[in-house]
Amino acid sequence: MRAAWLALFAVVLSATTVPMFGHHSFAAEYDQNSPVTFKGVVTKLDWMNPHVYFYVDATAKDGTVAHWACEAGNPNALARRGWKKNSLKAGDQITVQGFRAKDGTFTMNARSIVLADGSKVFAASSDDGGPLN
Amino acid sequence: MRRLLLIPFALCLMAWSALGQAGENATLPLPPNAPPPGNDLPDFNGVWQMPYTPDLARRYGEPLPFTAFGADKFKTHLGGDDPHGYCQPTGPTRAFHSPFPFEIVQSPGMLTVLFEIDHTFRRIFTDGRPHPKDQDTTWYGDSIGKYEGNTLAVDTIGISERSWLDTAGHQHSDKLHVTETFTKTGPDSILWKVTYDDPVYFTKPWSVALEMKRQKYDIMEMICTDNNQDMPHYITSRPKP
Repeated sequence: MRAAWLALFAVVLSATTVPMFGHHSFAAEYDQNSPVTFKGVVTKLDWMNPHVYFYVDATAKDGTVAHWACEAGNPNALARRGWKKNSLKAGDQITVQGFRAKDGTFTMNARSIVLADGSKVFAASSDDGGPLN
Repeated sequence: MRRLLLIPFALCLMAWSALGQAGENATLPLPPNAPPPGNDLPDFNGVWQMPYTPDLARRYGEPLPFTAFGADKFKTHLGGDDPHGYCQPTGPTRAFHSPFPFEIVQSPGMLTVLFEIDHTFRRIFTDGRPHPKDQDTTWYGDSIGKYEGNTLAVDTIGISERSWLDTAGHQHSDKLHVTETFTKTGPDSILWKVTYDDPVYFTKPWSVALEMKRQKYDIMEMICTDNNQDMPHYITSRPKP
């Protein structure tokens, strides 16, 4: 029974961790020692090669607003996995987890994007040398 | 227990149903195949993809046979210097093991590869011509091939040292000599073996083999310069754009 569990788990993993990078390595831009998590509102999404970028306004408790630029996977690879350019859109309230750029700007590599209803969007990229979820 | 077992099944179904609803551009029908090459030559026509292999050394399975110079170059490289991070070309072989499919078109005397990545192409002459003499190096080099049974053997020289072999940062000199074999192992599979011989970077030739699988759908457009927002953020020795 345990073997059956493991086999099923492997199938699920293989179905959900299709790699998407290839344009550049994770370490070329992002710092795995700088994890970030924030809630905010999507202001724009660019469904373009080589990476989908979306922009999020995250308001802190003191009222200041951080304008985040978030990198997601490659649009062709995302489309092959069933995602569409309107899977995430301006106005969506989301929680983003990922890693900040080494240059300290409000730029980040998104590894997890969760909508207000709890559903996940754009399953994370992998095999770019970056940390797994 | 039975109910618990249903959870992974449901997750699988969700993943598969997501695939079934892929954006229309991801499920466009295959283009018409070129005519079979005839003369008992292996038919490589079609759309194919290899497993994404960002680090050739991991696939090689043991430390690469670096020269002292090659080892130092790899140890001190910056990922932010990767030419492809700036949408510069992949060179002749990196596009094959990128995360994108490609189309092979055989015609008399030539095999053409149409890469989805960067919307680029590579030509392999099979008409018996030799390499040009005193050729200036180019991003893709000069490729000539010869059919032997169900295999095409390809020889490539004149590759600019500006290209990288993979995303992990393995580099090469313009002395690089690449040999490849494409072997038709079934109607829907091609075994690709590549050997890198570069006396500046490596003490001996080394090889990696990967399998190409036939794809069900057409290649898509992938224009790297469309939205390369990464460039200003790379940690790099290059001048800032």
